[in-house]
Amino acid sequence: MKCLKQILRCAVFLAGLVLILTVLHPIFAPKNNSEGSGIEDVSANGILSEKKNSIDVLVLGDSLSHTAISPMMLYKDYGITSYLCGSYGQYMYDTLRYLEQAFENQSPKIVLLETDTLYRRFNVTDAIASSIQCEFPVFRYHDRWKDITASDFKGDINYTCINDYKGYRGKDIVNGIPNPQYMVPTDKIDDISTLNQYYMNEIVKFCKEKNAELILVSTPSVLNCNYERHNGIQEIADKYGLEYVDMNLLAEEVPIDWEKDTRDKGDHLNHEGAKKVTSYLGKYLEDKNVLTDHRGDKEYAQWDDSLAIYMEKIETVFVGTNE
Amino acid sequence: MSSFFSILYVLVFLPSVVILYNIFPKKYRPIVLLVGSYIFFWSMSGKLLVYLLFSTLSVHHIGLWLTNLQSERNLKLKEVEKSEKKELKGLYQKKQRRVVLFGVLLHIGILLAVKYTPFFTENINSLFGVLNIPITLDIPKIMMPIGISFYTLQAVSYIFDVYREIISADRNLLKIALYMGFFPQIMEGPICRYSETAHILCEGERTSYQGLTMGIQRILYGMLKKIVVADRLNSLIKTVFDNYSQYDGGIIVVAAVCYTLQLYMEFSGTMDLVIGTAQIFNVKLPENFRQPFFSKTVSEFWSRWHITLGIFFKDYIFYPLSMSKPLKKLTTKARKLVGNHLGPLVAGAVALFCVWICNGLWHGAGWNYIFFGMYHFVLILTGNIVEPYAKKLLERLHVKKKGVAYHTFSVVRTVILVVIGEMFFRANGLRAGMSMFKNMITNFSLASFSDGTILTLGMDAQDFMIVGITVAIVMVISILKEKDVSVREGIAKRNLVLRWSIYYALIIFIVIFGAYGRGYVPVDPIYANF
Repeated sequence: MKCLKQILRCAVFLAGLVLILTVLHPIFAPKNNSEGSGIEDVSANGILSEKKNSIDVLVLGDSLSHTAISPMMLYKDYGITSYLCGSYGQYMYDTLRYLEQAFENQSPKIVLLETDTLYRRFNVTDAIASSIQCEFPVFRYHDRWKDITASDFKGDINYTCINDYKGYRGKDIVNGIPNPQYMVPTDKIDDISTLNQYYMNEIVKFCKEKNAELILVSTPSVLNCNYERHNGIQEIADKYGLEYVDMNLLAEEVPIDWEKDTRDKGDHLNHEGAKKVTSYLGKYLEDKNVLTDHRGDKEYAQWDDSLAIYMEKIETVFVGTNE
Repeated sequence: MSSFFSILYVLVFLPSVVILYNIFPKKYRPIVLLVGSYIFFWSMSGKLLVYLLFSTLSVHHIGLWLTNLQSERNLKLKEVEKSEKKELKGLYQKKQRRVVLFGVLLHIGILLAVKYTPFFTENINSLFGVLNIPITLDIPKIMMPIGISFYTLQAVSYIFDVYREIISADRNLLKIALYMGFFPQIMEGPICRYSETAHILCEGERTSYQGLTMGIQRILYGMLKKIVVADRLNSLIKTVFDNYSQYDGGIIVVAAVCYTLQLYMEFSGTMDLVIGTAQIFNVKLPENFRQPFFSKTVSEFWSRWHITLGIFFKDYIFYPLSMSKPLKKLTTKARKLVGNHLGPLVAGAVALFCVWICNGLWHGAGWNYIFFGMYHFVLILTGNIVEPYAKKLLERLHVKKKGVAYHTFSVVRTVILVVIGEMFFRANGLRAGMSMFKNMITNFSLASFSDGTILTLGMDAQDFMIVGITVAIVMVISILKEKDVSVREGIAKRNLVLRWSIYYALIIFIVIFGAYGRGYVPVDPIYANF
């Protein structure tokens, strides 16, 4: 009896703690998604300002995604509205978090997962920390105590920061590599870690629940792609019945010139490389016949404004980084 | 698991071990602790667990070997004539000494090989260079198992204690394995005696409600020190110590003070976590800190800081050396030559030198660590030498030794000396330490405070404020402890609402003001690397 009472007391204490942590969240949560608001990764979180259900294609992944795919180009050439929630060094647990967050306000028909993140290893501690931060965001944003004002206690959140590049972070730097032979056929498989497989399974389940088609995409990268990884990803794609587009094997369709189209000797593409990838991807998505061309639609007027800015800053006078 | 403060340890590993420990019947609980300890060790050092297993087995064997010799001696003593007893005792003492020598050389040898081979090789290469000998030895990269510096000393103390017949060797391998590898203490101590922990570790008493709550309180207090203060200071310390030539003496002083503070908060915070964890399993571990910054002398400081290491050196190096025949003879001769005060100090100095060279080297393989040891040797020896003269001087000047003013002066002086020592300890090599010290003295300026440079080193004004508040909290608790007032017991006597409010406030304080997450690099377990 005494033991039961003590266990009950511990449970009540923990429940109180959970309550306090939950109450703290609205105070510490960033109230906007702008630079200086305290939000993590302003670019990837730009999707929070997008009009409800306006995004048809969601792109997830690490830096290979946001340097290789330009959503505004997809809009300009095909009228596809997409957003790139890729972030630097994105781990699969981040990918799942961005996916779930995106679906809170959007209903993308297609989710593109850049596959480099599948080979980004992390440990159980990181995964647990991420889960805790998801359940109690005060752990993620606790450091905002330095910026907290009286208005933070009201808890009003207003995401106003429209990202005109829709998550794209291209660069016009050229730092090439001569004729790399990195996709040498082999039957060997680079195994995907158990933790990454777990999160892959969660992502597949989530997309199925939301009726979104999940497509695996490997954008060209000399340093991060090889045939063993291709085989590993193909194995995962076959397991879940997903489409897998490996642009590293599509030299004709995506004619990357490694002397000109990379900004860091084959690690990431530069803007010229991104244009080639996006052009192929646009055609690929168009051929699916499930996406609507939103060009000229008054509901998407904001996209035209962003396109004008994008064209002005990126396509005509590209000046280094646009983050 | 990367440290005791990792999420995996605090939220998964420790609760799992506590639950399993209490679910299992009493006789299996020590096994749960041992398995948990080896899983913990494995998660830190992987296959290097074999080092710990080997040490455990060898200590077990050597202990039994010594006890067998002692039993054999005792049996024979009963059979021989009185006149032969002395000779027999001497014979067996020799035998035992050989076994002790073998055991100590084996364990210290492994420690030396693993920890110091690269340092020795580097210095041999330098010597070859100076002597123009065209030989360069490869500097080996040897993986060091976690806690080897700690469990090796425990192994040595066990061998000595069996030899001295303070304890009798244990046949129970489980007990010895737990004594050597109990997971809370394996990484940073405290360095325990067999008689202090081995029996209680194997008793397998169920976790009591009081033990659990008091243990968690202590863990939280440790987290406050480590996560709020030590980790927050990390950025500034790293910036200044890595680029010391870019800063004036004022900044160097700040960095040196911050490092001393960080070292204390990290190590004593870890000890709070360790002792709190053990308390959950009903194990009382010895304290490693006793308000060191209230010390009036450097010697006193070292009796309050890393207490168990100090006691180890005292019991197994200082006293045996001081009591050895050659040093006793030296004392007698020195008394005749330099008098009754300085005479015993000569032999004491030899023993003290050995203690501090070992202390320096134990902390790390580097000249700055040796300098650190010698620095304290000189300070303590000087203190011992001038003590009677200083006493006379104070009497002549009518300064009350127990007065507040002199007490404050002594404490501040000790803190300054300690901060200088710790600066050499942290510096990237002896040369860097010397350069920082020179900069501190010859280029001291407060300009960096007025022009705002101080706030560009990785800590802004709010960071300094939080560190200041937390240090003040720790200081108040330390003052109360110094006056024998137990804050924890005081809280435990309060009503539930007040008690819980304090616990919630402490947890939320750590959650909000802890230096973790994006933008922070937590300090590595400093003492675990020694």
